Amino acid sequence: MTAHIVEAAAISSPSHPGEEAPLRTAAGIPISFRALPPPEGSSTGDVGPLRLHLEYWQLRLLRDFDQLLCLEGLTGVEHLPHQIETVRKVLRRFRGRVLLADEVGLGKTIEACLLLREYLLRRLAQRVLILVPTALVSQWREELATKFHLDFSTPPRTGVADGPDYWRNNDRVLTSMAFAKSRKRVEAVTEVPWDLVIVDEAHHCKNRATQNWRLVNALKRRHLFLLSATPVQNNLLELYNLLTLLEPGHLKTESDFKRQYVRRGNPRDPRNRERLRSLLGEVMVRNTRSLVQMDLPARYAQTILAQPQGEEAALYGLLDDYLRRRRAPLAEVGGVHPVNANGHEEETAADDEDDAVFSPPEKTALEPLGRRQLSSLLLAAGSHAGALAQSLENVAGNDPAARPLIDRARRIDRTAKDEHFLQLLRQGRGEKMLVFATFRRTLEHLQQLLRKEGVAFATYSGTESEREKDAAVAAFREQLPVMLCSETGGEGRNLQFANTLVNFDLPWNPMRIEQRVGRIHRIGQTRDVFIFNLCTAGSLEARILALLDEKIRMFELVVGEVGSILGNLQGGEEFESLVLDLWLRSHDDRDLEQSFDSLGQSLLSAQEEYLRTKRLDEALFGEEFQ
Amino acid sequence: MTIPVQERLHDFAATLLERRGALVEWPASDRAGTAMLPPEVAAAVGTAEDVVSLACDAPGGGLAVNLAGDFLEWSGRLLGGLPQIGAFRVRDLYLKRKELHEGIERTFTWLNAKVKLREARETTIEYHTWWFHAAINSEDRWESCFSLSLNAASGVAVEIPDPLDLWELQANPHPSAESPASYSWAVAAARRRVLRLAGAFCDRMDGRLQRDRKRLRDYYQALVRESEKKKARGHAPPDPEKIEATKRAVGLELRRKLAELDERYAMEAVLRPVVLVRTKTPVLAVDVSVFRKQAHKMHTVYWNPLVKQFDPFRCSVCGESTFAVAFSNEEVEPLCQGCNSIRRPSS
Repeated sequence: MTAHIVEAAAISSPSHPGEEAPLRTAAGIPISFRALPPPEGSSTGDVGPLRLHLEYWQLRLLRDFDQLLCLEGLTGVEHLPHQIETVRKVLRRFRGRVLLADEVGLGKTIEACLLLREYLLRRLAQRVLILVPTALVSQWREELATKFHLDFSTPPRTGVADGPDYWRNNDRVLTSMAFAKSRKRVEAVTEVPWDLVIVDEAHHCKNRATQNWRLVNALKRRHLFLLSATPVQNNLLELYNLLTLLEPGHLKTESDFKRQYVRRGNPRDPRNRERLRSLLGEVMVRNTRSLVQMDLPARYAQTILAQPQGEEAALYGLLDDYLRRRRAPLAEVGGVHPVNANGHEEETAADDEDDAVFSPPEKTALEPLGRRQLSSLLLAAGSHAGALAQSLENVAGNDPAARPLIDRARRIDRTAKDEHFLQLLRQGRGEKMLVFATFRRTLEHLQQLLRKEGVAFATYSGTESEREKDAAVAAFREQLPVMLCSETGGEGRNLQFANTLVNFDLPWNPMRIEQRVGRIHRIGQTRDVFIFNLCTAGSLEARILALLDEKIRMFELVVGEVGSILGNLQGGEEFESLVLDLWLRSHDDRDLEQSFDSLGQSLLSAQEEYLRTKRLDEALFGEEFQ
Repeated sequence: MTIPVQERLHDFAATLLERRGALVEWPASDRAGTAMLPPEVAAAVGTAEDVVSLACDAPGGGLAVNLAGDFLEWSGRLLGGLPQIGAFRVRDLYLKRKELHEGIERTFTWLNAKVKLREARETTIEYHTWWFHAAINSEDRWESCFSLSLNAASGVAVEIPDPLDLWELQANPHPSAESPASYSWAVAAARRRVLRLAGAFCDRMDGRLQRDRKRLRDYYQALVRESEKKKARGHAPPDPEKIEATKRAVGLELRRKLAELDERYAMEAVLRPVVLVRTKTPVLAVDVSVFRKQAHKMHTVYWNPLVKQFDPFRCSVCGESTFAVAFSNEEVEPLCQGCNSIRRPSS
């Protein structure tokens, strides 16, 4: 027994198995012992099974920090050296309490997820709470599930999540900060202990007077990862507040901190910069582009508006009328979550705020359509007539009023977008082209279209086996000029040999658009990247593109910046949910245009805020903060 | 993953699957292999296929045999069907009675009793070798696997070779169906072993805790001091009531943070018996009559042919092994020197 462990009680008679002895370390840490019951069952005279048991437990011990476990068995995650270095650093030096402050686009989320996986695999953590801005909940959930094979529970928007049982019974919870801090459930969230809490876009906790800061401070947690590319937005005290969440007292008291590190009259300008950086280095990791030498070539985007004619134009007009007739009041549809193109249920928008109510629809014999159905139909309409026909059949097949629409959609063979797409192919300059489409029907249509035109292509979608996918990528790389991709197609694959991307349709979530672009605009890409966005004039997609492209120049931003801008949007709603709300609230095109203008202004403000903060952080931390 | 680890994983996975009835085609030199799984094994590994591919690096759709992923989970489930208790016997060990009494006199020191040695006799006893997986959860985690062997007749911990490596080992055709009485002794010995093995870990946790406590105390005490200070020249002195309120709030917060810290560092050690090997061994036993004051009791000394030396006595108080033996007054139970010196003042 080590001399540093003392028995608090006098030596007693031999203990019974499982009994806890009152032991303490020299610093008074209590040590309780628990012995599990002895093995039961029949015995064997064969050493083989016994050796297997022993080897099993030895293998479980092969888990030292030099050999990261999180990297094994990962699919679709392209981890970079600086990310691995960060994981090692946090495990060895930071003891699970760290501010991950990499510049935008360097993969803080990947780092946090790798760390999370490492902690889970090593059993350093079992109960995990992830708090993210509402706009990023679905992206986090999807990445955790598809890339890291981690299932997280998202609390239901019912009374169930207001009590402690939900939070106690679920070991892995992913939710928005807005949801968790709500007055009716904050007590339940903070009452139960967590092994690890991850806070994305942690600069939202910069102010101690806010509910965000108070929530994180009140959480019973063992480890804490704060993620923010811009930890200082206006004032150095914001950084102080964040680090106080991690290690209270690390930067002494607020007035000590101000006295030592904040220049009077300019709360953004630090004094004793070197000392401050050294202190920050103990609780913060910041990788910069110059440090990790990660600069990508430029990317250029072009939006191609297809003007529908004749039958097609009539179809969209009739569809708009039909959907507006069949939509339910916002208050009724608010509880139904929109669904994305992969059939995954998305988060709804506001957390606790009531949605506005607008005029009720005309009475019909049929049930009004919910958010999920409406967004599905609107997305399909933006994709292709074939996809729309199928979605209408699925959603409103029993409605006689929908029948003519379905028939009309089926009759349309070539759309205006098809023509533009073919034109793009012809002008393709011999470059390899990656073509994205959300709906399976649209992909099938594109396959037929290309066959008719005699263009060879590969297809990469969820329906192919792994072997077929490998073959498709190989064929695309070696010989074929076109690869058709579904939403998740090509994730984690090296497709940088292509530098042209066509969005045949567009997801409403800008993060998804960025994910598509990220397939070819990533480390290893040496040429400029060209993005062509096809959309039908007057469609919701066209309006979204106008917002993203014209207002914030989304396609010229660095990877990851869109997320930071969206995170600054007031109201904290998911972008696609905002879009649907705008459509639901509008009565006609003019209405809708005004609403989109206003959303554009919000986006611009969010971007300005992001840029201002970015400049400040660059000045504060420099290029080579480690 | 290093090559030796891959080889170990390969061997382990292939052997385990074959043990559970699978047909495995995976030469050690190959990167990947295949296995035909019986339905219950397929269910345990979580696949609907009866033929699956196996590889140490993540294969497309097959079973990944690596330390991450769910390999350890499903192999744990498969192991659940394999016995964890081994029953063996050791035969034909040469037992030499000559000079046994002199050996006992040389080996043992009788601290406070008179002893009389009886004639040596041949008998068989069981040695129980327990393998434990031990883990301590605190602010960090410590884990280890170790084995300890006990003379099942006396309960004393002995250092014998790994029985699974003994060439004389044979299956015991008549294994005992009784649950092993040595379990409680083994757990007590395992606790002592854990505290010894985890000494450096405990010291590290102590150091960390003290640093963290100091940081928190300094911080919150500084907050209190600041609340008592005058804000600036010419300003009114701070309101005493406000100061008191701040002190109370800061004190509460400090207590909460310290309590959280204590909770975070509290150590919970879990001992999991993983395998038990019962080895029936021929030994020489010498009964010893022990006379302590007016009391008398018979004890037995065992000559252990596996290590070719006597097994020590087990202290009846702390469970430690000892060759310098004292005995308690009335019960005439063996005591180690340490426990004897603690007891002596009251006796």
